[in-house]
Amino acid sequence: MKSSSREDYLEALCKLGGIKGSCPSVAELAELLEQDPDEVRRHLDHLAATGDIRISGDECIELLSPGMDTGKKVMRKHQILECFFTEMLGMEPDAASREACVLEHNVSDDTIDRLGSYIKNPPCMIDNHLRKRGRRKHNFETLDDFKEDDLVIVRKLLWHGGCNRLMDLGIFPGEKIRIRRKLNNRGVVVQVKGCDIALSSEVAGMIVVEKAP
Amino acid sequence: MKFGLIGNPNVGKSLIFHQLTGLGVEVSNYPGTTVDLERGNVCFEREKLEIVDLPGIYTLDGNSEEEVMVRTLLESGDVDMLICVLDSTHLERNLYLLVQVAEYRLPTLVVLNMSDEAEKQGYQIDNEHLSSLFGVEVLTTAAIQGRNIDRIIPTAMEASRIPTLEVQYDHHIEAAVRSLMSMHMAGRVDALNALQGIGPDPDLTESAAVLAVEIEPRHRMSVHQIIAGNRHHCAHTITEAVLKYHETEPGFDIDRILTKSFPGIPILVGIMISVLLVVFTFGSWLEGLIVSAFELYAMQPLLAMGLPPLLEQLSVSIILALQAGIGIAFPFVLTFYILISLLEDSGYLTRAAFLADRAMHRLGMHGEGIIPIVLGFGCNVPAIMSIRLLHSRRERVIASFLVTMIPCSARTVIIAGIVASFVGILAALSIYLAVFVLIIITGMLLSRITPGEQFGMIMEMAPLRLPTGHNVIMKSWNRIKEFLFIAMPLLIVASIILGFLQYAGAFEAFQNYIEPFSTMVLGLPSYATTALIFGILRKEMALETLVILAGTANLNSVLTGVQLYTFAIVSVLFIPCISTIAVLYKEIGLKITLIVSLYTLGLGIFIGALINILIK
Repeated sequence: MKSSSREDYLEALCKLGGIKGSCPSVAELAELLEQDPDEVRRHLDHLAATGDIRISGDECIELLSPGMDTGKKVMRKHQILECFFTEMLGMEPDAASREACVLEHNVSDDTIDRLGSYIKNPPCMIDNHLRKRGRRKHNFETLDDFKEDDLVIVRKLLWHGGCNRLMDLGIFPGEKIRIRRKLNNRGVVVQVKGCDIALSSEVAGMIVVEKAP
Repeated sequence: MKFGLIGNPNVGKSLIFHQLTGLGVEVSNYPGTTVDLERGNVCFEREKLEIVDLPGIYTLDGNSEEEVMVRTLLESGDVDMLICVLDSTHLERNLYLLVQVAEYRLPTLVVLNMSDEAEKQGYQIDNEHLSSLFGVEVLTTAAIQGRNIDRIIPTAMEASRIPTLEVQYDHHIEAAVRSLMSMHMAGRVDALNALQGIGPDPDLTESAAVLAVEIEPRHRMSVHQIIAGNRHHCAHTITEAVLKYHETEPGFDIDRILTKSFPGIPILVGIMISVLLVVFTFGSWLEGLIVSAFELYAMQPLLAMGLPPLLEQLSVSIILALQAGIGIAFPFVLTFYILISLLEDSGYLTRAAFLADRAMHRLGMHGEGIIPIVLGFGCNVPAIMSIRLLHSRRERVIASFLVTMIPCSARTVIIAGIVASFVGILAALSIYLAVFVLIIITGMLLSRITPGEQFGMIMEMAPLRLPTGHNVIMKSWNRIKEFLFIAMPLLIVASIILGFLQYAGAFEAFQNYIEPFSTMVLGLPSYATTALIFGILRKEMALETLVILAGTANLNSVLTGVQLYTFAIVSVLFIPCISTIAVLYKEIGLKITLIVSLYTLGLGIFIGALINILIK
């Protein structure tokens, strides 16, 4: 049995276990993998022989700890790759999933860890030059493009890593905020939920808003 | 029985705390952190109750030091009961925290503070409805007037209940929480925290991470965002249900003046200069009194006693340390604390930070950094103590470098006493200019190389209020206690060591040893270098020692203009004084203190050598 198909099987079993919360059956596994149940059974026997799983009867495939570890690891690789492809590269979800299925077997743990933390905290593009370039492409307006006393609605926070504090204060997609003060250096004071919050220009430039009707 | 006072920043929590406990408050660091925790006792029906004032926070699932500390405290079960203080004028934002606090399922009493302000602004809160929604008792207070404060403890003892509120989360989150709870036998809060990547149990966070990666792409949002959104929604719905608002006539908005570029920035400059001038003039006047009192009533009688030399030297060292410490503590540190508490309590500090943000950014700090920088001109000690106002360690590190380089009043004495009087006023100004350029270069350099992320400023503007005198004094006293009890012993020990070295003849040996270096590199006679070393004790002592060692107050008869200029600039840049080192050590740790001292030492010698080579 090839190591990539072993990983595919263990990943599928992990996924099934996670969805159902109990042990999956051979039929379910065959359906998920889009393979013939007999062939599936043959592979499962092989996995049982190596100590990855235990099969009790026909209806319950139980993952043992080595199998569980491999399965979880591959599943995580798949998810991170897929997330990167769809969220950051803008690929279609189906294509992204297919690509991830291939790459997940060869990518190293270190690469995945780095990719994972990159997705969580992409380098802040606070640099004005980059931001302007990005803006022309997307054609969106950020908080610092509006005037004092404008009422705006938050649409998106561009700042993936550091925007938790913004959310704690209520600056959240869908929230209506009023610009109370704007300085020449594009620093702003906004009124959110009745409180005045001061934001420096880099932060204001990360908040995509549109004018409230 | 232990109570925890919890709430957003600026809700009057500390005021309530001080009114409940009165004097005898103990400030301590929470184990393993630098977060201050105030503890006090109160007597109720002959039982001693302990009250802990937790730091003001916006959320319980954040990563800042304060948030982590409060969360760990709630998880550890170290407090038996919570008193959650809310600002009635900003109910919705405050409920966001209460919603999270409620999930910890500790007996809670909700205190709706600032009810006087809320009434004035036309808000009316339906206490009974709020109480039934959360399943806890709600008490309305106005801490400024002292209204209902006396009822907090009795109500908490009799009627605090475990909250029953359940936040409805997104169904993916709920499913993940259920599976984590059954898989790991975890509580609901632990599961929610684990999904956001926080919590002490690595197994739980690991399996939560797997689930989180599954949820996040579906929502195109982080789990934290989803959860925060659900909580905000919950807080919003509750606010809609319990809050009534009558339009009131809006009063004159002082922010129209204070936060505009004009006249806001001139006002800011004016206020900063007046703070500096008050600390400087009042401080040096009082310092002069204290120092001469020490001379007259301690030093001279001691010298007249004719003790054995070692004992005399050590006693002199102790008196010198006390003289330096008390001479700085009351005149500079206390004055500064009173002024800064005034600015802080009135809410002006946040406005100053907003206006100064851009300029401070160039130096690698946020707007709040303006306070230590300005104070540094008066005295470095309170300036270093104020770097805790800054939010990240990165900023504190940068500030500690820059502040120690700023010419404080004692260094001004040297510049005025040596350069201005013997070389010329323009030369004196050129020293200031050189130091500022070095500060700016250092700041720009540090903002590139200091580790840690630089986030933009996100800061709540505290509402403008009239500060109360009692509160300001209490706050200042609590803070100066730290200086007296933590920095002073360090100061005394350091001074004794220096005194001992002097007794053992280390300075003569040093003088011989340093002679070639001193004349070669700095172009100064060796006694001037010894005077520089004494400048570590108190900066202006460098001048006094120089006069003593040179044997004449007419310095230009023994040293050339260039030598005097070099001496002044080296002593200005040179290692900070021993009091500054003591507070640096306390605020930021040994490593940074050493680096700062070595950096300024190196910089001082480098500039001195440069002038010596260029002008000679």
